[in-house]
Amino acid sequence: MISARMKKHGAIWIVHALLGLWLVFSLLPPVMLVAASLNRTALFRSPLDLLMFRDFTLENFSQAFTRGDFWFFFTNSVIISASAVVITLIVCVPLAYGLTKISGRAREAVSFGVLAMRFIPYVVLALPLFLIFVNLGLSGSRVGLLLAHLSIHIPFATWMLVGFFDTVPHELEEAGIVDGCSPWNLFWNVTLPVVRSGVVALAILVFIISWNEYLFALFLAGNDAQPLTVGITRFLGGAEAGAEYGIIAAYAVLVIAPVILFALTANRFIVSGMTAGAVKG
Amino acid sequence: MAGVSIQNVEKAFGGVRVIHGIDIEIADGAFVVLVGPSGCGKSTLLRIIAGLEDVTSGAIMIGDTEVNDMAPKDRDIAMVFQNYGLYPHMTVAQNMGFALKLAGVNKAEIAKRVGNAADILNLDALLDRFPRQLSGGQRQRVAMGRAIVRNPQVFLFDEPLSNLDAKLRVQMRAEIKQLHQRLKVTTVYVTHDQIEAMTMADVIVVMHDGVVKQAGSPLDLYDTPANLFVAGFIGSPAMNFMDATVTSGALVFADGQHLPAPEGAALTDGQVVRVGIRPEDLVVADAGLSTRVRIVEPTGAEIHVGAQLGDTPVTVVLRERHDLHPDQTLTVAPLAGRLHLFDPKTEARLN
Ligand SMILES: Nc1ncnc2c1ncn2[C@@H]1O[C@H](COP(=O)(O)OP(=O)(O)OP(=O)(O)O)[C@@H](O)[C@H]1O
Ligand SMILES: [Mg+2]
Repeated sequence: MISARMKKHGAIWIVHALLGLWLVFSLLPPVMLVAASLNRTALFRSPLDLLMFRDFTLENFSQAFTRGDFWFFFTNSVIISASAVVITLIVCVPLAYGLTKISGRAREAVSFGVLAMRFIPYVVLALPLFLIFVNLGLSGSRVGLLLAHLSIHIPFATWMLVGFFDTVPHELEEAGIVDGCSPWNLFWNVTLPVVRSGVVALAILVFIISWNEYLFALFLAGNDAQPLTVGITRFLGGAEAGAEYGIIAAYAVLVIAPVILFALTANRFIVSGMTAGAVKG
Repeated sequence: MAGVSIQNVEKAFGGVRVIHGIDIEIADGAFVVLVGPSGCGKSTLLRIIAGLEDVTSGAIMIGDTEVNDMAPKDRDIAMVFQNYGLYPHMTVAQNMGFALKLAGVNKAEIAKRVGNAADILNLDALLDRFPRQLSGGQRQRVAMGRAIVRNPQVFLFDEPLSNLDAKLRVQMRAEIKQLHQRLKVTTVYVTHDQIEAMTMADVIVVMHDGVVKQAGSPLDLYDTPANLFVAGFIGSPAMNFMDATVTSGALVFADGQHLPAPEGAALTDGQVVRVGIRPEDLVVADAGLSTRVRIVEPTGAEIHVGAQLGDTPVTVVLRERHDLHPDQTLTVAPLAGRLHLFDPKTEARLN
């Protein structure tokens, strides 16, 4: 029905116009960010003005690196995000696989318990975690922050993975059993490869969530474990200078660059459906 | 190669019994088809043979070995699934060689055996493709290739053709049959399609509600069904059934028409019997049963006539051409020796 109408020239034109508008609308903020990072001054200037690059500079970036201690925050972000991915996968993939193997009430109970963790707003978790970590000597450490991240990731990832594993048809594993797979073989060589693209996409998602996380970092990171999202706030209004928007913009560009890279990769994986045509005719 | 012996097997899921004591002897090299309506326990029985389900009681023997407690991979069986169960991330060659790889067979030998199987099944050109790049029939063939490569004692098929379109199904049916004639491996084949059963089987086992209703060669089952269920299940269009009362050597139907009772049946006067006549065993005759034509369906090769004998619907299949119209009277008679008599209560055959 839609395609019939789309054939009309006018309709296509309108759709394209709307899409174009939407594109401008959604690309404006990041474009402005990049533009602001490449101008000496950014405050009170229109987007158009910024895009003329009349006082073009790379100074903001070098300032972000040197005065902003970029590498210190970057290291924290990378370590925490990467560890979060690795640990989440190591814990959740077997957990979710196991959950799909048990049936009935037990499964529902565990699944609900896991999912219920997601109902709690982070901000409510942050304070008790802070108090606990102080007692355990974990406050201000990467380990503490990582644990906080895992409290968010594990329920989320388990829930997603159970969904992935559920899409693997029984017949596939039964074929594997008849072919002589040990339980480990079955998991590693038959089932896991089928959900592989889902797992990769999930890993990237977990990485991005950790990378962008701000609230826990604010409460729990102390001085030594601060990630980039906290680092950027250094330039938010020192007493003497006011906010240094050019540097903030440069910093922000540096922070989101890896995320954008990952998002593009994730997209490719999410789109490629491995199971398509595998089992049914 | 080996035969399979199913000895008094029962199976319950939780408290629900789905298989009630089944005995089947499958000779070495035989092609046995398990057939029956949906839910009768065919798949369950096949999965028990495969070792994917365990028995609640009874025994499964493959060759001389009791395999009740043996893992599927140690039973030396290969199974072809309804939805093929191909590994989506492996090529055709890898799919076919996977079991051998797991068994630790060396690469050269795997390649050789995969090559042989691919030859037999015309898969040579497809070995490097992934399952998603194959048509339904090709996937089915790969699934069979995967079974062949292992050179097992027994092939198990669970409705392997039900996902294919009608034409391909007929073609694959012939291919499976040829494959069996070539390899002579004992085969247990599950289907709910009685045509598939008739055309492929050496022995058909008709199941219903978890029991075996009759086992025998296709023509045995067709010619002398042991009970009402088998009589109604085997044959297409299905057998006609009419109740009649035995009166001094004749079968008298509800509307007063009658036929001579067949020889060799111990019948007593006044006994009510259910008479079964296959549609193709009725021929147009001068004397016999007069029926009223309701619907005429020419198929080209034959004419299917839906008629009525009194209140009972009767199907007649005629090979000769007749000019028939609805509401006309058609007199038909059964071919000699083709009447089936059953006891309506016990459902057992009487003649
Ligand atoms: N895992 C199970 N748990 C509980 N009941 C089951 C299970 N598997 C099968 N059954 C029941 O056992 C009975 C027989 O099932 P089975 O799959 O063997 O039937 P089938 O003859 O293969 O039917 P179909 O032609 O539809 O495939 C059915 O009533 C089914 O509901
Ligand atoms: Mg079945």
